[in-house]
Amino acid sequence: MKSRSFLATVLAGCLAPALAFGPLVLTPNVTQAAATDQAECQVHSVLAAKTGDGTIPENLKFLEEQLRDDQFAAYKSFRLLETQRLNLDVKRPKVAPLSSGHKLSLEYLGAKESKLQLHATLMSRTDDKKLFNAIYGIDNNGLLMIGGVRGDGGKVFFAIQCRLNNAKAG
Amino acid sequence: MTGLTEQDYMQLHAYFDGELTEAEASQLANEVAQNPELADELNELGLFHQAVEASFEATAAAIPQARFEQIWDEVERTLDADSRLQQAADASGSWWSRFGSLLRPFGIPAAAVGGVAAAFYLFVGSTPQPTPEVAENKVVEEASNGPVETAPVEALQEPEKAMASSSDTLAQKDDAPEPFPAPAPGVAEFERIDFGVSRGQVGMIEGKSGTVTVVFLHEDDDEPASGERTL
Repeated sequence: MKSRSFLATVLAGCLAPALAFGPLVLTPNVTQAAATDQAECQVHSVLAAKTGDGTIPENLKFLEEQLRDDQFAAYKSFRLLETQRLNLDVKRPKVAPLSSGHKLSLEYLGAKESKLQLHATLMSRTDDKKLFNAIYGIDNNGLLMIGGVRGDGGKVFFAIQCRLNNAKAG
Repeated sequence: MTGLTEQDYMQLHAYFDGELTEAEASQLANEVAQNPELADELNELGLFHQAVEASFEATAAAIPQARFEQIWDEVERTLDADSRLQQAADASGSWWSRFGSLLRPFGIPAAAVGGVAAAFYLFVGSTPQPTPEVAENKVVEEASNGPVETAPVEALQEPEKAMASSSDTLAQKDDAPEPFPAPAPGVAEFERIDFGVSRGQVGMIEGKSGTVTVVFLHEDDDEPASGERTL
């Protein structure tokens, strides 16, 4: 009987913390699993002009490394036109009208091997002609830049950054 | 053909087995005295019973006392084994029932702890999270493929409004949505790509923070920018 009481004591000692903290520990995982059905994308519209002193404004510092690359050497100034954020449910495309007049359709296709699968379509600002249509995979919080299309006073680039909806912290 | 009935035979066997009452035995004795056939049958049964008893007694006499004790020991061991099996069967039940019986003394404390945990969890889980108030543009557009739902798009920063960094601006607004972290390095892997422009290029920009994929689009009347290079 002593061994039985001892076993019961040990079991109770193990179960009590599990009961107390188990829901707190397990719940984020459950939420995380469910949240892979959603993604969040941030779209920055950047106007690149061929005139200017080459200064990168503060609100584009996060893109400075890219904008100072040789591939953007033709442009001397950059201006953030707008930032839009889209919450995407899986396989539910959304269209964002951009201030440049273009329309950007984004569809979250799901996550595969830790990469977000996305379908992006950029449409002309004069009609719905598709200028760019792609299905791509990118790391969580990864960035894709597309652009060089005509805008008022220069060329417009769009920086599309997407993440799983459960990955806001990182 | 005998003149004795089945009832007569049953009475005789009952007599030898000592199952008759005194009155019945007396009546049977009178009938035996009056019926020679019944008397003969009684004698035969008596001889048979004596023979059987003598046989049993002879067999018992041939078995030594040690053998009896050995037999009884074996019988007792068999009974003990059966008893243990029966007790085990009664006590086994299901694994859960045995586990439950172990935990039974701690049922109330465990339930209390679980209740506190559940209450705490519900309290934390039900705490309302701050909901960002953002301007919503109701968009009803056709997607490139398939239907598109009415999509609220959060306009975080209006044109011509950016004086500070977008992240700073968002951080200063209490009701602003959580800003995105710095972009993670990593190239885009295209499964399919179509260009509706005269020329499209996919480039990679490698920097300290990693590699970023850039897609350059050149519309019909564009002159190739001197700084852009085909990769």
